[in-house]
Amino acid sequence: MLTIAGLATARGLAEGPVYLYRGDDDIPVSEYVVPQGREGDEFMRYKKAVGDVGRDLESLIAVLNERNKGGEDAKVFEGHLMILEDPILKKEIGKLIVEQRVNAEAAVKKGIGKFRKQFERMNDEYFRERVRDLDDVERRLLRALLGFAKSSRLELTEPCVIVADDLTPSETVQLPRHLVLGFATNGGSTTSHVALLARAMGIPCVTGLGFVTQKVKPGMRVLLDGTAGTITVNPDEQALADFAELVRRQHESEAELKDGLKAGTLKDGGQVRIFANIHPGVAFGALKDMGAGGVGLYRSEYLWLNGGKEPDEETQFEAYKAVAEYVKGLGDDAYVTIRALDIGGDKTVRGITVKEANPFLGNRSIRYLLSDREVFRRQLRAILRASAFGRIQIMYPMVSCVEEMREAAVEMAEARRELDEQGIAYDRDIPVGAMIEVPAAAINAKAIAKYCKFFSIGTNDLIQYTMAADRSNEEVAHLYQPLNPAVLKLMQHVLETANAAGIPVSVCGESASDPVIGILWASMGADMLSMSATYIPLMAKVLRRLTRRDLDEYKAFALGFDNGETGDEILDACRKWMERKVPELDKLLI
Amino acid sequence: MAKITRELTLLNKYGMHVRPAGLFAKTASKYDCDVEVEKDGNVVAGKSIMALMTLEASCGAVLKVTADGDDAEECLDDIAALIGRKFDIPDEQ
Repeated sequence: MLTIAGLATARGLAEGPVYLYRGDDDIPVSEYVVPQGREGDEFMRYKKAVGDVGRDLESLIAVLNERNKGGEDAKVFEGHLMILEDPILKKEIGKLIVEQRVNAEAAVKKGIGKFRKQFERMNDEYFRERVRDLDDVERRLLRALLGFAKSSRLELTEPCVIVADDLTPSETVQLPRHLVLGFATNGGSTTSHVALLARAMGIPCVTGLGFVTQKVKPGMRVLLDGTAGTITVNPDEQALADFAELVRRQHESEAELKDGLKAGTLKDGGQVRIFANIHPGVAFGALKDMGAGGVGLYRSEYLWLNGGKEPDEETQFEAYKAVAEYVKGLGDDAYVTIRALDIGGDKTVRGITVKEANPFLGNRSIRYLLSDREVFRRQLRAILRASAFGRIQIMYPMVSCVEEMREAAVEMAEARRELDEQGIAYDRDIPVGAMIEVPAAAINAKAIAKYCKFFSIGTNDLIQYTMAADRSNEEVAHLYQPLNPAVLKLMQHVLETANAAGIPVSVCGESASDPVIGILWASMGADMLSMSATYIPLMAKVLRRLTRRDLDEYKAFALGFDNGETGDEILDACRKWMERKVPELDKLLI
Repeated sequence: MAKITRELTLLNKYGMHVRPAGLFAKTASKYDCDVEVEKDGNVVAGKSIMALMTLEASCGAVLKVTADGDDAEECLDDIAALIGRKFDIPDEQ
């Protein structure tokens, strides 16, 4: 028996025979000088190969799109198509053929090799891995030039664990999925193609195993643990028994979320609502499977950003109506919160936003809407009209003061009056709320609440403005601290104020999706957490291990620091608290 | 003729890898103007996916994008919006 440790790349367990795949790393290529006067023909041979490979890739993309609409697989090959057609690469290869009379095969190898060297020298592992994309394109071109079959195929006849040096995207994607139990590779990393695809396919994968291909023979029995990152060759009785126990536990964990319990249910039956953040242009079909109880943040500005201009009222209406109708399927108490145009700052649209010296402190969001009432009115009309088709809430982003809520109410009243006059139906009780993301609004929450049916706290901006630190600026990113005592105090103030005012309050910033932080917000009084749908299952699993009492204890713990602790120290302590309460937290986190 | 330079910060999780570079090159290629991208002193063609990938620009990297031509302004707006949207890649938001 031999156990080799590598990188835990895609979680899951697999037991089965080895399929040893050697691939075709080296397509032998000879280099020769093309006879004078024939370089034009040689260049045409290269151009024809580019055309052939391009068509192959296009049909592969079509097949993959058919199989999985909007899936990631196809996008990989769209990238390959662009590499194939890249003007600089084509020029480089063309020059080798025409000026130096190098044969097409060798020119392809040299041309791509020049870029490969640059990639291999890179420090960032994620970028180094992209060499595989070049390999893939190179092999396709060489096969086309040499008249080889289009791609080498892994011929699987029974379910196997595939052991290989590394796999290119073409090799990985063409595998019959039902026969692949797992992947184990010498090379690669957690961000290699086989890693990304294995995770997308839900197949366990261990990479970075060194010389695993030399330690196994075809058909040998192996145990693959993608969660621990190990492969065991020729397991003994004890190892087999231990593995069987792991498999049993994995099944338990998978079954865990299939008991019909709503996402966000606590151990004692209590409930934290979990909604999804979405934007137009991205399919929302998977929200239900992920367990979303509604849509807590619909980023309407993407209608502007995607189109590069203001969408007309009809276009907006159709988009809002579609999501309003969709959320009906998420439960009786589901609704969608549409955020009014949140533009400016880093979200710019030509002809709408203007250059400002300090865009994050400039004419953003509600400020912009109040400076261009026509745009605001059109959006309000579209949202109101859509509210006749499903439950909608409207929230205004970047509110800093009461004046803005008053002014917005004037526009809202006007939009309603117009619709009334035209006899157009809308939800007369549509809730209107404010996003709390400017410190001024947080501090003055009590006054703002008088104009709101709900609050939604945008922690990304609230943290950024409170700490005066741009988290995308590496030099100051360390100051962007979600649990800095100042941020905690503001959060506590807003949550308590909303609770006291009797209005629901949710958190829709990125921090809501981290169990350690999001659950703290819930413990402090947030009724709902809204996050990217992919984070919902994890949040649901953690919450069902906690009771309301645990949450109370957690709140007291996190708010109890009062001895000059830093934001990072508090975050660290909270993480440890959560790990103590939910010992399997790190396992759930994969 | 206009020659404009803008500094843009990459916001998507994995930076300028295959797909973002592809989308960047595709967007730049829609315009007639010349596009160059500079990072840490390296200047590459903005219409080439390969060249863009060699910048090794990860999340947070600041790119100096220069467009030269009649439609330079539109082109830069389009590219800035694409970067702002984190290339519309759902997993990298």
